[in-house]
Amino acid sequence: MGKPENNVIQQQSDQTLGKRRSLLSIIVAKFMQNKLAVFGLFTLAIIITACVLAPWIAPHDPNFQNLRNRLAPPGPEFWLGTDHLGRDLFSRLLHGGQVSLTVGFVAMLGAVSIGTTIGAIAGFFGGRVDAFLMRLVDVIISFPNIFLLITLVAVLEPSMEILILVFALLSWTGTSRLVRGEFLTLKNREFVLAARTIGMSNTRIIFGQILPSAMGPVIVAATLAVGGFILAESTLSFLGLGIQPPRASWGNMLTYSQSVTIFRTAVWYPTFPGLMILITVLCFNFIGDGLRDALDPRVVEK
Amino acid sequence: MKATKSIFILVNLIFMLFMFLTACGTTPEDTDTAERGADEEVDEPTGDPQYGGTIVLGTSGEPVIFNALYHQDSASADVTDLIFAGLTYTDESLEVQPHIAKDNAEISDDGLEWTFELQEGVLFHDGEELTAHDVVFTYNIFLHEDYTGPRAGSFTSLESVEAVDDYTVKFTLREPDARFHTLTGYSILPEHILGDVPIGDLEDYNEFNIENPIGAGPFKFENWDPGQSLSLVAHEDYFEGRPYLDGVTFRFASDSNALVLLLETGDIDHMIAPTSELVAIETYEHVNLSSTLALRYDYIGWNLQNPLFEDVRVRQALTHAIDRQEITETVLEGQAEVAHAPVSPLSWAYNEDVARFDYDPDRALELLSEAGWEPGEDGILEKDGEKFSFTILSNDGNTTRRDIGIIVQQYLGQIGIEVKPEQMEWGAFLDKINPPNYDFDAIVLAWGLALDPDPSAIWHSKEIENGLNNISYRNDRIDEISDINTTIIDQDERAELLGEAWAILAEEQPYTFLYYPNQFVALNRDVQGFTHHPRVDMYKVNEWWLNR
Amino acid sequence: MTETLKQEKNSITQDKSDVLLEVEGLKKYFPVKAGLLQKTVGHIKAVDDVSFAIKKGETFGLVGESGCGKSTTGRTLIRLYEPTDGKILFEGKDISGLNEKQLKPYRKDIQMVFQDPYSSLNPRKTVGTILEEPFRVHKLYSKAERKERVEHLLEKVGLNPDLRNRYPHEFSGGQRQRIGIARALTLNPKLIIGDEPVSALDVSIQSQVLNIMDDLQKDFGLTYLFIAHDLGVVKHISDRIGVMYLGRMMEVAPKRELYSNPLHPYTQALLSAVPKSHPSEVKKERIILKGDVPSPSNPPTGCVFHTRCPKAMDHCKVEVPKLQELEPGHFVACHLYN
Repeated sequence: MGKPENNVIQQQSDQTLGKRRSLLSIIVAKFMQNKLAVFGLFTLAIIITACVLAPWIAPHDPNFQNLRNRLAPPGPEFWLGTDHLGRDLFSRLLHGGQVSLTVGFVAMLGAVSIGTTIGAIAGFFGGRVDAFLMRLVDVIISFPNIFLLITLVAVLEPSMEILILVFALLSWTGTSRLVRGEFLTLKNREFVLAARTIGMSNTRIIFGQILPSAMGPVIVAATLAVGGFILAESTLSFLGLGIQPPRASWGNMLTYSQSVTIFRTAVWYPTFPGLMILITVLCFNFIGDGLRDALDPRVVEK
Repeated sequence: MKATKSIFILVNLIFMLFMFLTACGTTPEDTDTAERGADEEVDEPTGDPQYGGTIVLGTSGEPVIFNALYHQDSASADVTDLIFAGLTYTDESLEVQPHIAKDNAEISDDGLEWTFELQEGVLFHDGEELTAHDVVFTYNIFLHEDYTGPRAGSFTSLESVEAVDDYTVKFTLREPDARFHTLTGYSILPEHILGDVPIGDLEDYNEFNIENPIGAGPFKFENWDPGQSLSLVAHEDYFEGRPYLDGVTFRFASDSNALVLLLETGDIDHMIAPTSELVAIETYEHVNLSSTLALRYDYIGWNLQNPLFEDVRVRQALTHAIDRQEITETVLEGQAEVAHAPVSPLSWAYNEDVARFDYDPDRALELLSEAGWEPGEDGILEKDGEKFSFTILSNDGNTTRRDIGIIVQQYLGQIGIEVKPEQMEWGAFLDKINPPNYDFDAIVLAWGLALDPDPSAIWHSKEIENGLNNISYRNDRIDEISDINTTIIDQDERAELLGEAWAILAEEQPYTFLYYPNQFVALNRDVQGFTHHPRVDMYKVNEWWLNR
Repeated sequence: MTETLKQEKNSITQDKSDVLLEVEGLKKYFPVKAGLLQKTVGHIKAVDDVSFAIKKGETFGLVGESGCGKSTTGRTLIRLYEPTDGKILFEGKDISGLNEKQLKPYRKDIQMVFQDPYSSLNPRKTVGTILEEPFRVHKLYSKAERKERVEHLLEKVGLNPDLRNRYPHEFSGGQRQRIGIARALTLNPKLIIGDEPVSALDVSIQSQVLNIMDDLQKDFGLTYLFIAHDLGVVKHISDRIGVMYLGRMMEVAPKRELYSNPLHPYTQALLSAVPKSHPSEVKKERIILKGDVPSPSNPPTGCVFHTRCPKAMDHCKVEVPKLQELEPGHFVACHLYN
């Protein structure tokens, strides 16, 4: 915050004094400069739209089996071929995407909400509250995540709701540390002190003053987490603990195609769900990187 | 996972576990080893047998214990079958044949005394001779009150066993037991090693059971590297002559996919091939596929404690609604035959003349309507305000059973029955379906059948409380047949009585009998002398040889 | 001269009714924690036994090097920090022990202008929102009235009211500091604590901001506690000045008295470092202090200044000098004057 920056800011504000530049427009402009991120956003928008519209655009019932038409190659009737029970892969891919994306998004929202709240409380109040909450985080982190996931999901019997719940409950620690760190820095910023001098309540300071400034890194982490959860669902599906049949998810579609015979004779079957997971996770990572740059506080705040 | 210890009660029957639910390619009438794919290559001798070489057997099941008196899993059985020898064995036609015994048992007229003459010069791996005293020692363990293994129930008719002389052993029964000859094949343990171990401690006597099992079988235990491999070497003094192979190695892999890849690269020479992988395996030029009808059937069990399945018409309707023919032709690649009764066509007690409930959804709806089930507003059948809706359970490692659950969901959905397929980890699955829980609506499972067709263990009502009758089936006539059939020594007479039991069970449909699957063995074409047994994986391995 | 001094003295220290804020023996110790269990292993004595009073309508300058505790004093007065000990009498009422709820009415009366104009305004909010926040917290006025007041305040600090929808980053440092001042004014406070409000600004802008503060003091009848790290800035604006060193008050005196007759060796050293803006001050030699400021976690015994004092005596290492009134209104804590 030294003086040399002063002039730069002066110039910047002089330049922009004429046309309005809101914070958002700066972030958007910055984001748009990142071609990969824009590509990711665009691709993801298409995927999400297609999955949301699955009931209307899927050409077949995703769960209808035609045992006499198993592992059919892509063609005019079944655009991406059929699976090992003769179900239309394209329709399953769309419906499965709904499930995978829902798991990813809802688990992310859950994990981010828990992590943000706990991190905010720990960082803002400090002291014993902080020590207790951070030890709790340590305990959760010290479990090997995948092992705990498998155990919990196996004990609770896998379903989409359980999966989301377990993901959210085990994955908030990163966010909480991130938010706590931000709060530790931000709570002594003068604008926060100013808020206190006018008598603002802690709740209002936490959520109204500090949190908006702390959300940048959280949004980035959350974006990356969605991809992570989609992968985690696939991993669990791989172990038979993911979304249960006949409901499709990209993960369990990939699992059902795990057979040497299918790889040799119906390679499209594992390829499409695999590609969808790959592309979606990559897109989320691209967007996350783009947001990381766009929301960089050093850029935004000055 | 909690249930791993508890539940395997494999009295005469074993659950077929793991993912190798497979099948093999012949009609039920043709029980001989058959070939699939490159026919001319299988079993065609390419010269005289030669000595030498080691073959690698691929398996995804890790053994637990090398003692046939205690093991409860097929992986352990495969290894013990190679290390130990018994008085008799069951050949590929399911006939009992003498092994260590010179001849089949000499049975007294009243059927109560069974006398075996032993071959002389049968040596254990440590060079000691196997005598009648070892046989007496082994069978007395079953009779001992401290015996902790799972097989005591098989020997309820055996009163005593004694050594008449060093090479003669006499079994005395309390009552005639038609099953008894199938019990004479158990591994003979060496008394000179185990004679001093208290019977109660024998199950945990790892110095023998795990670290250094000594038998009189064709191969000696060499080394076990858990999770990796287990190796056996030829027993030079094997009483039938030294095996052609120098050794046998079991190679453990995580799943069938890994095994198929190992087979492809030539790292393993032998595996039980899952039906779903036949297409891939057929393309391997260095591999031959052998198939035979397995001594088992797969079924859907309806939990009769659930009021949904109380009415026999409902059960018949359920079977009518499932196109088993289509399932065998598609999911099982045609490598299975639709089953109608709980007995294998391989068995002498098989009865073809039973009720059949072939695919007929209209008939199914009629039967359900007779039973009071009518479509509700949402199309789901209802009776007294209750919807026809249930969960069908299978174990998660088994892709075929998992798929059958999903397929059944569609078939039954088409006649307005709501089915939720569910998979469960094997241990948890057993815990749920076995006593005392019986906590399921319907299960997809299979029975690997015992050599003797006695139906008691699965169908007798006394087996509900703590046995294998996990769907709680109860029928007085079946109880009666179960009780008396083993006392009938005459096989034809017994077959007729059992035929009646199969007819009753087929009519009552406590299970929807799905199919008799073929079992496939994938074998490197260098391996010669292989005989495909419908029940025993490690059969006459001493006669295998390598043409390398 | 003595006459006026006398009057001042009377008015400040004796006529309590004129006093807006009185600080008595204020202490602020920060615990030093270490180890796994975060045990308190020591204290940083940021403010140690500081007393002074501020009269209504005056500007009290608080001066000292960085780390001397002057900012901590300011922040403790406004209750951003919990005082460790001592009294803070605001209009005769001790607010040192009040909880946040009891404190809320006093929040309106005491406001603060912060040092760093870049960090004192929330970057995510528009200027209008920032200035309206105090109204919302205290549930004052209607929406329209708030807007009107905000515009009025912006005008008062010399900014175009149309800029209220802009974000802080769109303003220069001096403009932002004016916004900070406007915010401090929103609740019509009686006392404004300026925590080095101009030290982050360019010299050219400093005087603009100081002039605005001067004007506002007249317009709103404000009292200022003006914290600065050198005597140059406070000279403009202060009526009286306190000099702090290592958490303690060294000298308090009316401005002219302090500049013309500094008594404490530390004050003398500070004064010699002030840039010469007036020919009459040329004669003084610059006094250069030896060594560094000792750590406040382990302050020297006796007079905290003795380690650097050019006139230190043996006695100074042992006994803490009391702040005593040497001349009317002129207090000093130094053994030289015993």
